[in-house]
Amino acid sequence: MRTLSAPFLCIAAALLAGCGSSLDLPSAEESRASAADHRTRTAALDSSINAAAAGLPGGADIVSRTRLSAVNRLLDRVTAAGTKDVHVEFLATRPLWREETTVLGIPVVNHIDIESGRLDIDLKRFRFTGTDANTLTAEIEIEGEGRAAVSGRYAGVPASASPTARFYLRDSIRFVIAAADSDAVRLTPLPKTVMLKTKVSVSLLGWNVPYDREIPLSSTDLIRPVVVPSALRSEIVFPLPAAQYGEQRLEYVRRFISFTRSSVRTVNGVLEYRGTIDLTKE
Amino acid sequence: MRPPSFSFFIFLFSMRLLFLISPFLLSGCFLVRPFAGADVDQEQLRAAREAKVAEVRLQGAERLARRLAQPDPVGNADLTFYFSEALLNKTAAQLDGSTGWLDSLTSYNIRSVRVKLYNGSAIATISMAAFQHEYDVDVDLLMDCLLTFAVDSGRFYARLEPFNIVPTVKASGVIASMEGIIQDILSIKLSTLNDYLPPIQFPVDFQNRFPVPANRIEVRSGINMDITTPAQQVLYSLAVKEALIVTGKVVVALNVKHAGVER
Repeated sequence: MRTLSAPFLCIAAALLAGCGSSLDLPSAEESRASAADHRTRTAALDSSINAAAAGLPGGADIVSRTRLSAVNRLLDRVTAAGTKDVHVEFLATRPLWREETTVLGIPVVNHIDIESGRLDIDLKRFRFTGTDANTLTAEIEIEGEGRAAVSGRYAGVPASASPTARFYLRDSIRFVIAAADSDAVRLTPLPKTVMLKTKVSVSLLGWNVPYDREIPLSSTDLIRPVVVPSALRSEIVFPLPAAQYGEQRLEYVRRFISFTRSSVRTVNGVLEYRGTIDLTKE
Repeated sequence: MRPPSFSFFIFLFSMRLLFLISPFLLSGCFLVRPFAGADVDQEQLRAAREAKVAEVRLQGAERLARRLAQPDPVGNADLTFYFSEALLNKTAAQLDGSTGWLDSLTSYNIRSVRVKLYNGSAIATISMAAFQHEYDVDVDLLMDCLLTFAVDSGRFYARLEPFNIVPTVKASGVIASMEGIIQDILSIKLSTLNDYLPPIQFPVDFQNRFPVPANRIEVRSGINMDITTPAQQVLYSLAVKEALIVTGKVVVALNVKHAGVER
């Protein structure tokens, strides 16, 4: 037995030596002195850290701050994705243009009607450019060109043509921000009339009609409310210890996340959301 | 009755030492250090625990101070989350009362997990009990764990890394005389406890969709026309830029990594 024990002791001694004084806990006094020293040094660091971190938001379970520049980068993807962002389908418009005149003393009606046609409009720009209290301002620019099928009568002679139609709009639209049903932020455009510049250059039997109008559109018709998600999950599959012994150490249970007392605001080019989170069992 | 021989005591002693050093072989000196507390008085152990917590806090504060001295300000990211200590505790409380197993004969029950956020460090104190069914031994445990943050399989976790484990053994009958040895046996199991502790999950979604709804406008002024826009989805993924801990909150900064449009 003695010969068996000796190697154990030697190995143990060697390992203990390798681990330094791990088994030799410091005395209570030594530990207290060490803790006091660490606390003093930590307190000195804390004061400078607290000063640097003073501007960080708090006061809610969760605060998220989304930089509008990041949202704009995402919107740039949308505007750059193609040139057919908006489709326009011309319906019969009778008349587009009408004039009463006389030819050789005979009264005639010259008119041009749109029969059909379509064009695609490119969303060239949609960017948030400013913030004010609980509103965001976005600049929008769209431009497109296509062809319309027109018919008409000039000096009593019927004719048809396929002129070029051009649309252009550049304006700013303000959005009011509000917390949506969950953690998301809803952007709703404020009512405003924006003007869609329309130009159709019709040439019919030598009769040139430059149709150049601004068509009023309502911002609330033009843009639907947008819900910006917050990158938070509405549920978590939560790992817990497996209640029964087996190969799996963990088991997974679903927890739903509810958001309450949500509020949003804008701060210096940042969209801030804050709310309370509660976890509920399935 | 013949008294036990000297060699018997040597054998017992050497076996005891073997039990004591086994955890070192399993997980290194750092974690196991407090297990030596089996033979020290509670005040000594308590003071050592507090000293270790203070040391961990200092190390965290030093790292954070160095980070804050850099020119890139905290929160200068595309999206920044500020999770409160209260939220962390709500999340960690999901573990309260849960039972798991270290092996087929040793179960554990997590009584409570409480998280405290300091400048540069998050420390969770876990009150739990381990029960060795074969020897009918209860071990009450108080564990101090450092929370380390990680992203794994699209999930954002805080993992619990114990750095202080303070066990108190409760045994009954003749077993009580072997309390120390039993505690050492349990200690071997407990030394790998961090492998068993579930991580605390944060509800951050790294794959996101930003839906742009379809729209239709009927214009009946000037030119009759219908203007339509197709529904689109902006797909984007986020990557963690950094995670910092300041008193009372965890700051998680994320940047947009990839973005695309789906129609």
